[in-house]
Amino acid sequence: MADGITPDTMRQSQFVFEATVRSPGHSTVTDIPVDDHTVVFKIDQVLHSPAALARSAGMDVTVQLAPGSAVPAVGEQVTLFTRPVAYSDGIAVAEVGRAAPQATGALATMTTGPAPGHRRPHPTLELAHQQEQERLRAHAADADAIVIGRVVSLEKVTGPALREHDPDWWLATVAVDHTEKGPAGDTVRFVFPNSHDVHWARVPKPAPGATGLWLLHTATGRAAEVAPYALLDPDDMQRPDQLGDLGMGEARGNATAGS
Amino acid sequence: MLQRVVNLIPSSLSGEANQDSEPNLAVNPANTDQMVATAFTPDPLQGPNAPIYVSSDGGQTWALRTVVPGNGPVGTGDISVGFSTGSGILYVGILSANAPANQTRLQILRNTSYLSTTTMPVLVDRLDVDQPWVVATSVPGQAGQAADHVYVGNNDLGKQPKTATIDFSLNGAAATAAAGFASHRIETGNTAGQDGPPIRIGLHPSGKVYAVHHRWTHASGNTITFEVVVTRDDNWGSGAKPFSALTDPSDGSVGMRAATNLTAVWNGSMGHERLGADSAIAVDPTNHDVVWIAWGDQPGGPAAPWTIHVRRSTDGGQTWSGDLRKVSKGKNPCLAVNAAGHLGFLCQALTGTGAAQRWQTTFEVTTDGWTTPVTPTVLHTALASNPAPTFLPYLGDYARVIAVDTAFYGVFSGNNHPDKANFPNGITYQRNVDWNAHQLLDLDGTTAVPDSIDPFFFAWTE
Repeated sequence: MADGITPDTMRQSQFVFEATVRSPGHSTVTDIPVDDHTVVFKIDQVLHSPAALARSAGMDVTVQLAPGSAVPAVGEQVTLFTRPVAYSDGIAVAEVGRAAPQATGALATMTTGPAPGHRRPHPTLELAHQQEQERLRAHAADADAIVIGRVVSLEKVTGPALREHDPDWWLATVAVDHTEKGPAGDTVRFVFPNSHDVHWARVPKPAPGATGLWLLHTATGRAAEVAPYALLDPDDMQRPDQLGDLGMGEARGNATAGS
Repeated sequence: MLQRVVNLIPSSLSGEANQDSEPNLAVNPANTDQMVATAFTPDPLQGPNAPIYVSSDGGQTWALRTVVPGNGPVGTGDISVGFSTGSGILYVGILSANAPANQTRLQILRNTSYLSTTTMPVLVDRLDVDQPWVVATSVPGQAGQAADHVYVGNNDLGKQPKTATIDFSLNGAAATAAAGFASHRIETGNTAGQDGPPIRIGLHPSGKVYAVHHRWTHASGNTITFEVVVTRDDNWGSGAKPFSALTDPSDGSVGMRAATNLTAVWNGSMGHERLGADSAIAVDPTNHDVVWIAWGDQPGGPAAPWTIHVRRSTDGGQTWSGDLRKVSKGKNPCLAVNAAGHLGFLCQALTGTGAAQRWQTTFEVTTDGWTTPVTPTVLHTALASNPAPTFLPYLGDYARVIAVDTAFYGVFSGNNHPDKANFPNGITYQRNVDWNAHQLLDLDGTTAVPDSIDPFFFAWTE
């Protein structure tokens, strides 16, 4: 890992890029405060970014450098770890961390892949990819039951959804091929929000016959009257072959074979 | 006349393809160059805060500031904004993205500068609330000190069955905890478990504050029977019983029924959009007894098309006209009255049939309640089938129009397909676009970006 760049730096950084100093003390974004730590860079290479800024190489970006940090000279190249501040005809970001470009070789192994909610591939640093895996593993560890199985029935279980943000609970019954966590059984029942309201649209909607790796949470409130578990998070449905990716490798062979 | 229509997405976000629906708008009355708009727009860099759109040149150009605490896949949840008239403080009501999994979370925020890049502080924080709607003004007080009066209409579903609520403060700039905000139920009648989501508010400088809400009187499956109820306070809500100035002579209850026995099929669908609740109110600044309302329903029953109605009261909400304007297959009505007493009316309507159906957004100004016919100005028209929805609401459960002096300012969301024929009265895109090829382009100026829903701003002056 590059000097001074820690996993925390990466966690706090949504936009990582190699850039060359163009103009200290200036901004390409109107109406943001400008001081001697406000510097315009030219983006040479995007190393980590959501889809919307994946093709920003060649653009200018205004960086609010960390207070008290050294201001690089015009023409100097750095790798910047940043978080967002403002977007207009230009982009303004705030520095979270900094490294010399040659020092970031270990970080710069690039992968590309779609991010949830986006339609096109984007660059992702290997370190960021690893952190995403860690986040998913932590999410799986928080689940109260984890099974691989196939949806055998779906049933609407609550009355009309009369609020804009009602979940519109449906009940899924899954024939279990493998139980990784929670009580063993031939089937498991869980509720899921069938609503396409903005509050719920990203939560998976099990389809008849779909096979998945289900990360289930103990149901509460009205949902608990219907089923012991609930599907609540966009990450609660994974592919069966991802069991190993979630740190549950021992079961992976059996699970994959059984699904 | 129409001054401009502007797509709010800035050029640095040319690569985005989000469903930026449900827009809202605030214009600083003391300086109409200063504006804030909102939509279901996530932080493009997926940081911890959701963005607002800001303009410092009267809406000609727009930028994003990531200052709203909480950022989910669509940014924050429902969001509404309002400038006070004197202090220039921006007040914001949101449903936070940082809510428990199965609950909504109202937060009321403020910023002393609309251009600030720091996270907005939270004044009010409460669970199980829907659709905050912010209006604000400044009222001269003792010793020449103006006080910000801030009203946030909301549907407080944690307080069933009487859920129509206004949180308000008569000194929103106060440094005290919660900035003086307190919650007041405006529903006093019997409901079928709850009121409808929209609670809208109209202010008059005299101190008259009007509110309109939908009292759900019966629910059978998804079919709702409801009344449009107008309440009023005559001194900013400062008395012991706020919003009790209007009573219905039919039973002496607080609030005047402006329309009764109305039907709505909740979560019905039209052109990818969900239906069930449209509402607007506006007070004439030249006469505090003249107030306008608009709502949506299905006249005659569930088989009827969703229809927008506009009506007027000239006696402070005690009696109401019949329909002065009606739009079949309309959505998201917005009302505002300017300093000349002229009413501005925005509406989005589904036109045509089958695959040729289009969402058409129009704006019109009437000087006499449509006694003289008015030809609506088409701001935007685009195929309703494109793009496919990624969530509901598709265009929004609301849009917004504001009047300042004799001008009108508004926002709406729509299909951003770059065809100038879709904007018959002109358009400005900030994002990269090839108008000849009808293609949105990414930051590199060559990579194609799919069509999506964007927020649009317009300005109209007389």
